[in-house]
Amino acid sequence: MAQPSARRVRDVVFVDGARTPFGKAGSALAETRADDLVVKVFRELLRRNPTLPPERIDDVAVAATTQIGDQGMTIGRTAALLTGLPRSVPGYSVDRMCAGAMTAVTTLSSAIMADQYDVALAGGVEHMSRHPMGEGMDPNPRFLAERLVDTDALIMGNTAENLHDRFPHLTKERADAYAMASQTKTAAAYEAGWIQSDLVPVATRSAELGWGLLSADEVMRPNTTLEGLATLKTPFRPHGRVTAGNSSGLNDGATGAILAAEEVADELGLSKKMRLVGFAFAGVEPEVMGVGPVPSTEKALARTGLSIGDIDLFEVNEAFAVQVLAFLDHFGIADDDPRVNPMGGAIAVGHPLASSGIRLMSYLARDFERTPSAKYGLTTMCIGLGMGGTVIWENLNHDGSAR
Amino acid sequence: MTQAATNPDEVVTHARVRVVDLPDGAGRLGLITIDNDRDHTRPTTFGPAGLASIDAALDQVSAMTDLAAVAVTGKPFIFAVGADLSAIGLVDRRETIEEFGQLGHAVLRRFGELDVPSFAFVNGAAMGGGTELALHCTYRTMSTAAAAMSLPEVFLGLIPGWGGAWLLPNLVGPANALEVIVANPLQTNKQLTPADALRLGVVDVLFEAPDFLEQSMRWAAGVLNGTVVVDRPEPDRDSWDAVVDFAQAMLDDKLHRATPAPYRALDLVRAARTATRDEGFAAEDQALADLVMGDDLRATLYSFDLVQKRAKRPAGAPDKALARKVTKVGVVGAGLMASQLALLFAKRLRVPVVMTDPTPSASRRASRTCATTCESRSPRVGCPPTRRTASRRWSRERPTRQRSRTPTSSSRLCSRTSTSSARCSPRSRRSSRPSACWRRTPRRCR
Repeated sequence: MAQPSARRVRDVVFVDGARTPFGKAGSALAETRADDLVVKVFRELLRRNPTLPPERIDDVAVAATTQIGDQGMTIGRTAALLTGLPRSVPGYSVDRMCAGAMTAVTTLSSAIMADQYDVALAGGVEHMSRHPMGEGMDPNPRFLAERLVDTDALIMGNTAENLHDRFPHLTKERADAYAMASQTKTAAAYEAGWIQSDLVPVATRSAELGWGLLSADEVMRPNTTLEGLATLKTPFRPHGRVTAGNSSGLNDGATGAILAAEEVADELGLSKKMRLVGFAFAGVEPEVMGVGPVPSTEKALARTGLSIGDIDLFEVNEAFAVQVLAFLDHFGIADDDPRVNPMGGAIAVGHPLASSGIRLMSYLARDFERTPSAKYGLTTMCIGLGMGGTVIWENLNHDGSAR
Repeated sequence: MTQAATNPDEVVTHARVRVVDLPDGAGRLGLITIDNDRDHTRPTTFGPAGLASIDAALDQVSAMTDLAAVAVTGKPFIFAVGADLSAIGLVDRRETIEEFGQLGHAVLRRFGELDVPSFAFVNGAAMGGGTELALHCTYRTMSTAAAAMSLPEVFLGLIPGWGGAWLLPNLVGPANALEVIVANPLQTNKQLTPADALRLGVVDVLFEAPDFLEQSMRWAAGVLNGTVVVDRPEPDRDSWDAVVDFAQAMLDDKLHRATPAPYRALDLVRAARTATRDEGFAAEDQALADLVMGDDLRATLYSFDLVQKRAKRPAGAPDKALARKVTKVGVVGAGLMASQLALLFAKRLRVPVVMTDPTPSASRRASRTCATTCESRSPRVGCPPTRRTASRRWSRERPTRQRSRTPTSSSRLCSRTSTSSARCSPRSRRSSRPSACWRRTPRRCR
């Protein structure tokens, strides 16, 4: 009788990542479907990696937070079909709110590590024009009746205000300064052409204006000043601290990435940008969800046997400036540490919820490319309903030099 | 204003201009979208007001001094399907139609006479004046999902009168041009697939639908940057007349000069060898006016209305909501016509069909033909996927039921002879009968 082959554990590499430019909700991408955005990214990834035979893709996981309409119908499968992948390539959907694409990557990677998949496509999309946050939401009444979560837990701006309350030394001024730096760093990265290299321009349909082309993020405000930021309204609380200027906005966009077992990437001649070292997700109180990256990073570090000092680059999602500050504060890193978000982040380019995880990874891959002295980097983000997610990566361009 | 310029029923097409930055630093593109603001079921057409809007858009891009190129594309699924012919049968002045031809020429030719190269991004169906608009441009890309492309004027008793009869032969040579302008329209208005359009040289390149516009713009950037070279063989002008003569002989065999339009088209293609652009376009205006004022066009439009428009939207038909769902169909008789009807019901309604015939062998034969046909077609366009076991069970039960019952209406019809029935249903797909029977039957009918 045949015996199943012995279990092996394999390394996973991040082969390539790309994304659409992020649009402002209700603007450039408003009349373009969410599934079409994912498809355009996947097709560009396949064009950029011509040695990958599409039939070798073992699975396609696509994340979306609001899985309704064009983001529903098992978008992983519909996107695979619409991309023109062979019918034999399956797909599924993922939801962990903002960390959807991150979870698509970790879940697919787990299967690759366990020798069940060779190559996989991960993606994430959020079309906040077509699907405003909370569309169709029906929270269990027990949440409130039994005070399982605070009423603030479902309003992300309120959770950010709560974070300011919890850490009073993380002031609005620090948040605004951080936000301005994000804009400046993004503008500089655009100037250097670092960001455009992973953007997939999207033809934008507008019944009123005719077709256009979106080739850069729509929401950037490179001319932001501290004075300007100080005058913005605080919509979540009178005399609050969270403003449109120090948080990410409402956006439309999609991301995608190719993951492969390292040996398969070698076999197929695929580029290897970085190697997955480990990952962790962790829960915190939902009303201060922004602190989630702290325990998830501690957990990931503990599991991989690394310490925070081993990490040379950080890609932290900027849902709110205060949430990045809380993370940096915990690990004793300065607000303006150059290792953190060197190309800026979501405050400048936008945060289409479930898609952002892969944007962080593509950014980190580019950071690694430019910084061969860096050995390890991490991508981390806070997640609605009180969670954090962290993925630690190893730079495959590392030249052995000390940073 | 001309008479044609005052058509109150025109569904007006709008041309909207946006300026986009082309990839790879190729410069700025004036992108014109033509859209009649209806969905794809009312394709974009050009009437006088629509042409005026395109003219205004061209004024707009001509005034921009920083453009590297101009491009034109359509609304989703549709590029443009040509002149709005809804009122052409009512025109009673020759001058009106001449003016309409001249107006179309005057506007569309501007796409080929700008200071910068022009690109047609044929994203969807293109017919008649829509195809001609694309031909006026310097370069053409086409979506592999575009439903059709054609110059169907000859099918309607007209000629391509907005530049097509001069531009196309000068682009692809007389043989390929005549295939599009004359042969296809006479073959029950056959359309070009995107692959055909590429093979014949009507378009320069195909891109797949999901990112057609993005890839078209990338390609346009390549053309402008010089990284993409468009290879177009120069038409052979020495054999030109011989090709047209040959086509004319074929035409004589088929039509015996019974209808003028194909011959006028042939003449225009012949003249395109030496005619200048102005001469070619002027000849089109005259040919168009002659044909519109003739009886043939009116007869064609009348019959087109009858067999095409009325077939889709029958006048005086009862409301669709009154219709009852048909779940089974009986066909009396199993001759050639009956079996073809049975097949049609089975395929279109996807319901079981019962055929009866006084001659048992006839019904068996008919049943076999239908089943073979169903099997030989792909399941997507075929008959209801009834399984073989089901039809076997049915044939076992049928005689018993008949015996125990009073005569059915069909047996009553055929009461003087024995009645046998057969059911048209596909057999298991595993059986692999050749599709030849299906092909043979209709031919024998002719």
